[in-house]
Amino acid sequence: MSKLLTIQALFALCFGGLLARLSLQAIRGKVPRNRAIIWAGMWSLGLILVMNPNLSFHLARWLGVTRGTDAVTYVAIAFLSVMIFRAFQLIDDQDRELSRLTTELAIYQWESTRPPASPDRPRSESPPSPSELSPP
Amino acid sequence: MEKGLSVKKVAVIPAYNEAEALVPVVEEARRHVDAVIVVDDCSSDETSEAARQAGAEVVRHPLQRGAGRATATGIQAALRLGAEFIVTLDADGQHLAEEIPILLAPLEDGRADLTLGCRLVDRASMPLIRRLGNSFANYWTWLFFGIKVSDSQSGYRGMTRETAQKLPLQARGYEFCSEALGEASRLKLRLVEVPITVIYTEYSMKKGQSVGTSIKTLAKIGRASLR
Repeated sequence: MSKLLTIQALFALCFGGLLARLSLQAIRGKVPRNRAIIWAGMWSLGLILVMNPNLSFHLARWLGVTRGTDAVTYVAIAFLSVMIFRAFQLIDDQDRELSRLTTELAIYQWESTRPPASPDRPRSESPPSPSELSPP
Repeated sequence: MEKGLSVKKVAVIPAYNEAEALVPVVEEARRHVDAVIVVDDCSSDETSEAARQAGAEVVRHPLQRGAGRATATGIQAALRLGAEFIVTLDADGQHLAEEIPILLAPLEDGRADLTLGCRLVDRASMPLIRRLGNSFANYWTWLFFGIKVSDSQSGYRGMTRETAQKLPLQARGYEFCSEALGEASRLKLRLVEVPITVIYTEYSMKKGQSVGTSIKTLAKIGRASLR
């Protein structure tokens, strides 16, 4: 193996650190197994490409672009786009869940402090069910 | 509201820091419906106390979630009260509560599932910036939700119990106005536009949508259509 360039060493250190951190989190059970495998695969691939730049040339040829660095850049942009989309989706889901819980809690507190509206609709002793709060 | 009273018509008023203007709105609304629900969206002023003193049921959000979510909470509370007809109106006094019967009439007659208070009939009384904003929002609503109405951003609306149960309102902010219309169109609900009077005061202009929030709302309408 030829002498490592500074940029290669920096990237290798970065990917190695990420792999070490991921392994620790996986051992402590902080990251689900399937997610740990996917991320470990991603960081390992990065480490392999950094340590062996010729591989990116083969990837470039396979993708139909001329240079290895171009291929890595395109793949990285695509990967980041997917990750950003997923992050937004996750935030959106959490936001909706927070809104649903806010409604649920507000109605529960309101019903707990007021008399029943009618004899056939007694004050509820439990929070309204999700199906009541979120119409299909 | 007394215990055991049957509740047929309920007014829902979402409110955030509206202690100053809320009382006359609630008092006037109470003349035309069986119950008034004020949803206090975690105000920092005396909105809840003012609403209670005016005779409203108060549902308070533990977190601020926006006008759209407050309206959705109010609708759910109205359903829990057994409401057959629900009307939503703004807390800042720009909607005349005495027009509630006009808004509810098509629902009671069985001609509509959803009524929309339309402000644009008296265009001259509407400030220019609001008029332009509304025209653009109407176009935007048509573009993203495929429904053409004269005043997509009006919060003065009426709906039947069945409609309230069917509408899956998810939006948090003002984009809920367009979202509800889009859902109504998707569910093939009968929509009737009703001309209403709107009072633009310095207070209501200050509390309403600014140019900045209008731009954000337009972006959110686009996002809400993708859900």
